[in-house]
Amino acid sequence: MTNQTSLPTDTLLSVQNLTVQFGQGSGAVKAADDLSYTLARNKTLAIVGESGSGKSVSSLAVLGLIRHLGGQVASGKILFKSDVLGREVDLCTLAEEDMRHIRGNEIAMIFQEPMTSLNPVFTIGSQIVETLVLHQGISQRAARRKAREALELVRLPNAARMLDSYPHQLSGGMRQRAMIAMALSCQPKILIADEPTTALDVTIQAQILNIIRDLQAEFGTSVIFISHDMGVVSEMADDVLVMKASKRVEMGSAKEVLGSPKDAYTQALLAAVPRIGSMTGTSLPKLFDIPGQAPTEETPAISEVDKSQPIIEIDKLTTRYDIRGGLLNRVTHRVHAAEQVSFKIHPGETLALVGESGSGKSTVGKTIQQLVEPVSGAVRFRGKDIFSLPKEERTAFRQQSQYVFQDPYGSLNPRKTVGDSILEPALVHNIVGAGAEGRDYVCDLLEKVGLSSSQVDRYPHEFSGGQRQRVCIARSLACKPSLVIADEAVSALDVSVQAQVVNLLMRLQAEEGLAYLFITHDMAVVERVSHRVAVMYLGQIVEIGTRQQIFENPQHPYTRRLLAAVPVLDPGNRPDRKPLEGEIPSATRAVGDEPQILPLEEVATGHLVARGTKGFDGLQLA
Amino acid sequence: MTDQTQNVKPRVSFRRKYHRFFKFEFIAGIVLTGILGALVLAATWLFPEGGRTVDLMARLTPPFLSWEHPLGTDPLGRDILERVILGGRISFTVGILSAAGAVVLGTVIGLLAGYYRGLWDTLIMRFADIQLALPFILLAITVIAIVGPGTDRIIVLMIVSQWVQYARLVRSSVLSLREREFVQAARSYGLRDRKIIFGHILPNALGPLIILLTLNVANNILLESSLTFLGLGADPQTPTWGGMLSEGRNYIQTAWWVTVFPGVTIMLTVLGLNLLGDWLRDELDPLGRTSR
Repeated sequence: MTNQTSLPTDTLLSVQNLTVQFGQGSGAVKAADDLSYTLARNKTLAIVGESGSGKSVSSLAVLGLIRHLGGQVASGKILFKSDVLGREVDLCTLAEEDMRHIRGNEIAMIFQEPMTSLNPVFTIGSQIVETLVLHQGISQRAARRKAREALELVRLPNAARMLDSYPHQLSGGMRQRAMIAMALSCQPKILIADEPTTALDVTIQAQILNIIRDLQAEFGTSVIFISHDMGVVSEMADDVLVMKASKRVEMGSAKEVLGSPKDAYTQALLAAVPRIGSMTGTSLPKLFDIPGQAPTEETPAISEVDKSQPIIEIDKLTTRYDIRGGLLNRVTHRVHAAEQVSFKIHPGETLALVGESGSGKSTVGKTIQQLVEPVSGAVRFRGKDIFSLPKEERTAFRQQSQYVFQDPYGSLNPRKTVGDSILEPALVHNIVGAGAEGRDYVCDLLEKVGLSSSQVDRYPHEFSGGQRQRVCIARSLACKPSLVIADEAVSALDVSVQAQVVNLLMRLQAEEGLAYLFITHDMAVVERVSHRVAVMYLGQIVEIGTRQQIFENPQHPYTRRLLAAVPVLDPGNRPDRKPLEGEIPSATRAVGDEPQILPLEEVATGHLVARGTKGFDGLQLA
Repeated sequence: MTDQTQNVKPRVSFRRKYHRFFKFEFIAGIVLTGILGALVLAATWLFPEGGRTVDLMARLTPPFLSWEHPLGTDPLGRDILERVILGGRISFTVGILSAAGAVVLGTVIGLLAGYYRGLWDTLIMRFADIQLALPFILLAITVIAIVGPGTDRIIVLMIVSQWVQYARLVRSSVLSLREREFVQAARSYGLRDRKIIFGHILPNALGPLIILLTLNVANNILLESSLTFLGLGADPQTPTWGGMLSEGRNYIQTAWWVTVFPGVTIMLTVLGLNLLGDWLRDELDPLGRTSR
């Protein structure tokens, strides 16, 4: 890149040889290293990379927020054509006073967490009005009118009322739309979206992406879209910049980079992305191909499922949470988290329980693990109902099933060594003794999950996210369970790590004949790992069947909607889907207002579908 | 992340082996509290007369003039150095025992209330609110009026009135910790509640607890002095640091040493304990500890 001082007419922003570092002297860490890219008018540039690759930092530099975070721009330029200042400026050296005119006005940003990026003590309206009054110098009344228009633009129903709502009164998707409305209220020239849909469900994600695309077309805004999700990037981006370890790996049009990547890293990254529809025609799960690891060499055959006797049988399980309120603290409402859920899992089989947040899928897992008490129903381990047993005998069944949690950072005690953490469940169930015997047992487990036995005395913070999840898996294996419940166990991991951990889970299944209950919202991963799939919606199973039946012949409208909303990695082609309108209704109901149980009907062998769509009001499905 | 050092025991130097003790906080803290503690323990043997020798001829001797009274004398001609060292017996005991008692009682109650919630939690916390609203001095005067003065009673009174702070602090940490996934995980593999509470939750709630504890030791040394000043504590003849402070108040303009030396001693004790507390908190936190 030449160090030209004047930008070509169609280029809006040019980052040239940018180096950002945190810390001083020898301890300095480069968060962006000699990074260059350009952003054209009315185009979307996607910056992709795994966590810690520096993809967010470069955009924070554009907003001039690096110093605020304790870092500094060591070298390089960020040239931007500012209309407000009427000249071309370098955002790295611009005075703070001038920067304030640009930030939020000409360059706006949407953050990942809609829950925390709005101030909870002010109404949505006042937060948008504040921005408008500040940047556009218009009156309160005019600003309020504009704010309302902005909320209508992002298709929030009842925009006038929404102005006076507080953030906690809105769902996650609505809040993210309010954030977009706020960011777009000043009609910025550049919109920076930092993982704007990562915290949202797929159907809501599809809705948000659609809104961003429409608004871009309408206002001619340029978008810098930061994401780790290749499917989303493929749907949104005109150009793609791939980053690794603070450096640029590859940049080009979306079609080139995602379609025929030149760099080995990009190729590896794309190979690890689970693609929905890639498994059509096969019935068994399949390992991910990880470049650099010979796939055929010792890939164990995926084990056949032993169908003689199920390990676990869930029968009409109903779990509800009470919500108390009023002066006398009586139960006023109940969350109907799981309603008459029934399924079986055989040894060596993976049942995927899919659904969006609030569908009750985690509640089912936690009830099986006896972390939550059910209202009614039975959980039978090899034919024995655990909830009819006295409390003392029940705990022994906690050995039978083990739970792997989503957050590998939160599910290990930071003050215990990983060795102690892994050993503890085995001690509880008297599988091994403490001391040397226990230590050997733990070392074996660590090696089984692909870690080194010399790491046994380390603390969790010395491990990366993927390694921590391996530790959690080792811990779950420590008391020799027959069922492992993996609750979003790979959702928080980067794609390449995710592929490795999923492969590990499948390998362990083949070796030990484990049954898995795989709870997740990620349909693409489900297609890879599962033998059978159950789809949950508002606490009920609406469809259950083999993976092929669900993915190749989905019957229930909600299943179809869920599958259609998954972003597809198909560069150059934007999906043609009707976005979901309205909000997913809540599972909270007043006492006495029981939900209707949808009867399941067998449409093919083992393929059950809920009849009717009652209770789906508020959500246009078909 | 490949390690080959499996069964090879690396030779570790003394300094490396005990690296956690080679820290400023630990060394300074242990030196300060160690010297003071040793003097206090030896006090009865060093000064069998108990610091009560009155020498009116030598009243208010300034310090650093003679070997006989290196830190000077008080208005009754008693030796300040002697009384400072002897005074530590009561001040140390009251400060440390009362804080230790309160921290144990409060922590256990806070852990149980926060972990189990429910009716007991509500009752205990409402009781704690009432306790916090009751002025300590009022409580002390009433109780002492009934049972009579004494150091042991003061310690009990302090425990009774101070466990609430610890209970509240611990309970609030527990409320957030019990929802953390590692606690859920421990429950999921069937660990007993007792082990979850003391093995998983307590170690993660220790940081703020240690800070509060070291602050309270200092406060209780001073509180003991105000009670003594009101005539509710030890016999006024028995030297205590707090008692010396209040006696010296009237002479601060003419004889600074009467108040300054016990004051400095209190300060050094508290500083030493705070340093040790900081060190302990860092050591207990694997994140703050530099590995290897």
